[in-house]
Amino acid sequence: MLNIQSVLDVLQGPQTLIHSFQLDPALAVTRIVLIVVGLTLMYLGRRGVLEAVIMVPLGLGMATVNAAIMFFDPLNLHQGLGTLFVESQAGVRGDSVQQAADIMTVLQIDWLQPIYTFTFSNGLIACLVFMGIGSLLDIGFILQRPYTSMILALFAELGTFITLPVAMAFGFDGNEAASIAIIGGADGPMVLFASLNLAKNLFVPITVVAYIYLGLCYGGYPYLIKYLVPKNLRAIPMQPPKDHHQYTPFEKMVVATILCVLLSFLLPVAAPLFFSLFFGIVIRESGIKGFQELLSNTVLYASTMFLGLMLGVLCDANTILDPQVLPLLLLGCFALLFAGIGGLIGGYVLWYFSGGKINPVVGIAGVSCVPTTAKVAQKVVYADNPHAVIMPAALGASICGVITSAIITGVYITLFGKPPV
Amino acid sequence: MSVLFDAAYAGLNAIFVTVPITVVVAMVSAAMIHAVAKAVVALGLGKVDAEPASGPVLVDDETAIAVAVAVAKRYHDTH
Repeated sequence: MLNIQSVLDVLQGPQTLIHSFQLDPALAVTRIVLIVVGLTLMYLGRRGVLEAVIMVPLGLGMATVNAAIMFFDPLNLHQGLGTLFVESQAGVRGDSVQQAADIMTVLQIDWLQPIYTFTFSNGLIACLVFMGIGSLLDIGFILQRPYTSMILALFAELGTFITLPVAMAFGFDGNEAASIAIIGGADGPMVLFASLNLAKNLFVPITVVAYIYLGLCYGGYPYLIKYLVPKNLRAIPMQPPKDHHQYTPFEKMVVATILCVLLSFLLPVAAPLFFSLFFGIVIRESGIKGFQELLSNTVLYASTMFLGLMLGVLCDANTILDPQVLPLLLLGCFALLFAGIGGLIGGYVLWYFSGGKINPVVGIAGVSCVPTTAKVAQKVVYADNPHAVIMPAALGASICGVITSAIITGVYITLFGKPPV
Repeated sequence: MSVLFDAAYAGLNAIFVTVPITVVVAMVSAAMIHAVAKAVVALGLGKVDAEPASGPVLVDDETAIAVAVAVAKRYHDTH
């Protein structure tokens, strides 16, 4: 006989919400809040306030996964509640046979589990994103100003450096603190890679927090620049360097190849990231158009889309209610704030030593997050002086930011962890 | 409280190791980029882009079809 209970039995989303309100009201409220947050992120991404390529899939994933909770928990990890999307904690048990069985079970049940297990949780997706980014990068911007770009990138690592002791003061151990500090490098793939190597237990929350904040850089950094750099300095136009040389694709390819081998030699733990980035750059300069189009379109967009989607579905109420997430939210914000401040300090230092020829805003691009911060820098400068072009210098600093982030990731992994066996 | 300070102190010690290594590796990379960029220009490697490629190269579909047709025709003519 049809009654309210039988209808609720079929409509498990509302029923699990009622169930959560009765047993764990915080979980129920968090579900509702996350649905609203997901829809808001989508809206802000669509409006261009935040990075659309991450926020649209992330927001939809976050809203949907928190709506689609049902009475289903095959691994008994979440008090009988779960989804058919992904199980990030599959394989957390000590028993290796049970671990393997758990992973096989969820691979057969959760529709996004193959993407998570075979591309996300092993860092492959980070390397694919890097290949795609590399195929869009013109290394010529660094060749024009190698020292300027690298110095700006080093200043912009301020957040990565000072977050480490602060995170340790919050009670995280060295491995965890180093993974959290890498958020200051503002490179999503690097955060993913570092947390996988150093703190697998915090891998999901760190990655989610990092990517959400990276999206917020797009909206937040313009305010930081306007607050810290006066209008007359923001409007300084930048001239090309005196010994400007137009490098040919072959010359760029030779430099990228040597740099890849050198950095991989110095820091083998970060070699997959170096290789992926420089492979993309080499393909771009090699003239093999088919490969370049494949990397810059299909690989980059497909991996970014699945990355955003995966991050969204990992934002379920259980993950967000983890008591470790609140300090992560604070530390992530702290790291990126000081990364931006450090970058602008670097900009001021170079502005001073160049006799006012370098626009200090270019420093924010050293925070990496290619090419977002370079776009932000140019956008802010353009608003004050439509004739000022700082994009080439900003892109040089931004690309060097990737290199310095990879160097620090390699150093942290060497100091605090072990390379994956 | 002292536990937190001890942890922060350990973190600061780690920074004193990390910062110099990072700065040295980054500046060595910048010097390498600068030196290699100068060297490739001095060696005239940029001219490679202007020269026709030798050895196996990737060709577009039309060229590949034209070559295949020519080879087939020659085989037909000689057999």
